[in-house]
Amino acid sequence: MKQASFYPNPALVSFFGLAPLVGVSSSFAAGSIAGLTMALGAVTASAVGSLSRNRIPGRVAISIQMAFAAVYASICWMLVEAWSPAIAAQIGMYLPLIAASSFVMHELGRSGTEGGGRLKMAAISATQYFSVALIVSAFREVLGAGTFTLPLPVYSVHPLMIFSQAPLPFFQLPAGSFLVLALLAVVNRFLFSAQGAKEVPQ
Amino acid sequence: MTWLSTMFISMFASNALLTWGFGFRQGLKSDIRRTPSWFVVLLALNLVASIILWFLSSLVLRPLGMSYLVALAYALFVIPAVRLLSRGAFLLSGREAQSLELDELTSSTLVFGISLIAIRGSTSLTESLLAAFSSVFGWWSAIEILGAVNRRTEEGSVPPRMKGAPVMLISAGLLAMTVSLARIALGQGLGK
Repeated sequence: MKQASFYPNPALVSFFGLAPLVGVSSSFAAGSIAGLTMALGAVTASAVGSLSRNRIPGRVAISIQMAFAAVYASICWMLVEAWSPAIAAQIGMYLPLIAASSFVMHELGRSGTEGGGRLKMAAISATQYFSVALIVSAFREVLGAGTFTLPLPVYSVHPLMIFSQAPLPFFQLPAGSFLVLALLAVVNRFLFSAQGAKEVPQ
Repeated sequence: MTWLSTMFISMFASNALLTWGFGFRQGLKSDIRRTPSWFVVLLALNLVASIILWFLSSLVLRPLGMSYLVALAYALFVIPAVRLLSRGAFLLSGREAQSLELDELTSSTLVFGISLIAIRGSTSLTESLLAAFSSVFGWWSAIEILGAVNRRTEEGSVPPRMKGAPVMLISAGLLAMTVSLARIALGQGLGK
């Protein structure tokens, strides 16, 4: 269990769900909501998969998963829109993608685990992904824009001013998100090694 | 927007992988990209996805004033249709393993991204198809470059902790920087 807390990180090791991390993480508010949506989606997908696995044939299950993804995306859209229209405008087009990715991400917990174990792995992966989304979006917004936007339920977003001038505007670009993720991937390796693992995850 | 600018923007400035992060995992982790025909198959699927989405958007949703449902229509109709098509094509050719790999590729991000980008700035079907074609080519180029970097670093004297994901992400970051420069240059060239 201790080892599983660092391995395999869905975003930093397996490159799962990179699109929301690259596309919407330039603001902490949007990045955190996108990360949460993805994480909850992965757990939901795992629960749906566990419930339907022995009851529904594989070929039909794919269609059911996609239908659930569409329903999940719609529900998320309505909830985010009700919570904050400004954040919904930033991540709206990504929601179906996030939902579809969630349903792919839950595959991570399928290998070698059964029933409750699978759900537990999905929950660990989801937590890891959410943590990465929080760190990447905070890092990018503070350094790239010099502001910090909380995901509050407001109509228009009012960011907190951290720096009077953006220290490193480069981090607002997609390239900045890749480099932050690379940094986190190295940190992930160090943490993994610190746990006494002989092999570094590839 | 001219056809040439549509092509260059889809290929470089709005590169599906380097600007939006679409299909990073699927391209690098999947063996499908190493088969000779994968590019053609991927291109065909993306063109089909673009056509379906263009028809849904331009002929159904936009006239009804329901353009906001494009993303939902995509998830409900286009992704399942393309998955069925790819799976059927590979099953008929007796290559089920490849159909499963392509399943992941189509259902997760790539087709979505390409079609989304294609449909956003396109008013005609031709423009949409051109954008889809250019996007696939741009994505394929980025994946091939990153794949080559990965192979070189596996053989080279890169510290063990930097091998794999960190090197791939740094390489993607550097490539994305060049794409950002192309975006700025194209923007200035187009007077935007």
